[in-house]
Amino acid sequence: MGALWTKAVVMDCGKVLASGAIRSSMKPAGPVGELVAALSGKAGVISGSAKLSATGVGRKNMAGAAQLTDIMAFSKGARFIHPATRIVVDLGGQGVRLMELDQDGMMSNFTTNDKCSTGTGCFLDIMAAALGVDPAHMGIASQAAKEPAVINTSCTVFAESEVVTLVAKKRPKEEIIAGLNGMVAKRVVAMINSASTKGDIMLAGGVAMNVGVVAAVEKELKRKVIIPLEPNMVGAIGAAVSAGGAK
Amino acid sequence: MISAGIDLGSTYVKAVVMVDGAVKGFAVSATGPDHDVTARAVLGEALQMAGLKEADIGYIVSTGYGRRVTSLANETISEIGANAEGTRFVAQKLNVRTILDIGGQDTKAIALDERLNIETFAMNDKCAAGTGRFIEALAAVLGVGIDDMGPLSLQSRSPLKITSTCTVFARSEVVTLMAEGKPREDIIAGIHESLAKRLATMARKVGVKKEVFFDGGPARNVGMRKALEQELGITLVVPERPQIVTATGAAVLAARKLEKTVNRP
Repeated sequence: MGALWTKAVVMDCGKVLASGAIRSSMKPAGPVGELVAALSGKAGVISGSAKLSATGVGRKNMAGAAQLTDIMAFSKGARFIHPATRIVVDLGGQGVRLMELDQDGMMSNFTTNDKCSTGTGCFLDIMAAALGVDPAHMGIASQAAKEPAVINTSCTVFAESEVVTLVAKKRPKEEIIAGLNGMVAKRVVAMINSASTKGDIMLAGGVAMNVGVVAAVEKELKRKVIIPLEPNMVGAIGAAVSAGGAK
Repeated sequence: MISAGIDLGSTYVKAVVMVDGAVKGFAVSATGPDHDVTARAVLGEALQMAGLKEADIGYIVSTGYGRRVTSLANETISEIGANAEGTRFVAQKLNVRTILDIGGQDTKAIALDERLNIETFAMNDKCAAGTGRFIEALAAVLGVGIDDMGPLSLQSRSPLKITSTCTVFARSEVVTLMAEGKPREDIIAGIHESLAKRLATMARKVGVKKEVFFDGGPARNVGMRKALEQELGITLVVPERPQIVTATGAAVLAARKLEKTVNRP
């Protein structure tokens, strides 16, 4: 139950049977209950028979669900998807979090940026709105760019004005988007580079669905990173695993 | 002897026309897409107030973020220098040692020595939190006009704490507070306190020495003044027209240039 999106998965015997996401809201219990019921139906599971486990900033609103911290959920989710994962970065709506895992999947270090919106999902959403582009297309759009635009300011608010100016100057949108994706990537890479753990890196969270950001991260790091099939579901999968879904 | 100063800020353009050492005309307008066009319009307005024409002006100095964009000026000066000059002019007898200036996209704290020369300064232009943009963005969310923020906040009995630093996150926080039915005036007072805290931290870096002069557009906001005075525990010197101090400084410098030219044998 993230700041912007609430994600749910139904798991049994180590398989994700259904997954879905809705916008987070202030009174989430009703809509999230409906989402879980719908996914249960899709998975062919009798609604209410499954063990429920919740994570994320809104988890305390889910009465009756076992609760686990975001860190636990991401660690478990990442290791379930790719057991050799040693670093998992959650590129969330309102923050970026990096977890370093030891050989046994236990978290050994944790760094976060949740004070500044630059480089978060919210940053990309605001820029997509300023550009009049669907947020879901921000990744693909940047692949057509010849040369990424240079965005001089890092603050989301100031960068938004800069983007508006670039649009007014007729700079191609794909080049602006490539510049923005590059900014997000730079922040992520700086966090990864300051981690001491070596090994497989997984990018999770909604922003990891942005292929432009992922490509820019790999270019900066000069190595491949692991992107799950549904990067935004890693935390939810971790919660399902802790509720027994892996067995 | 007629001179003019134009301050091309990120958010507003200000112009001041001086005649023989006195401000005779001034104007302020929101910065449009073209800085030069806005500058010409604002100068025109200030000239109209003074009953003069552009051809009457002997020397023009521009300052501010967009100072190099306009073709009007004979010379440019940094906004720090112009602000200090303007402060000396409008608060001549007050022995100002610290200037706090909140702009649309930056904030400055300037320390002056006993002879009112710039000793050191600190500046934030990297993050919107702590600048005028913070108040502007949150006023928009609240649906309150920028000029109503101050008077409304004075009605607050218990200011709410805005916990987010980032302007973007503070925007969501204000939306949540509104949805919870929290009094608008308490939210606004909290916004002013949040900005005051950030400005005070920066001011302490250069050292807060009395008298402390507060200028820039947000200094017109009585709630902002009150919050900053409480945070610093001192009374601030606020000029009658805080928004045009820097433009006035530029006009003073332009007048000095003219004086030198006239006195040249």
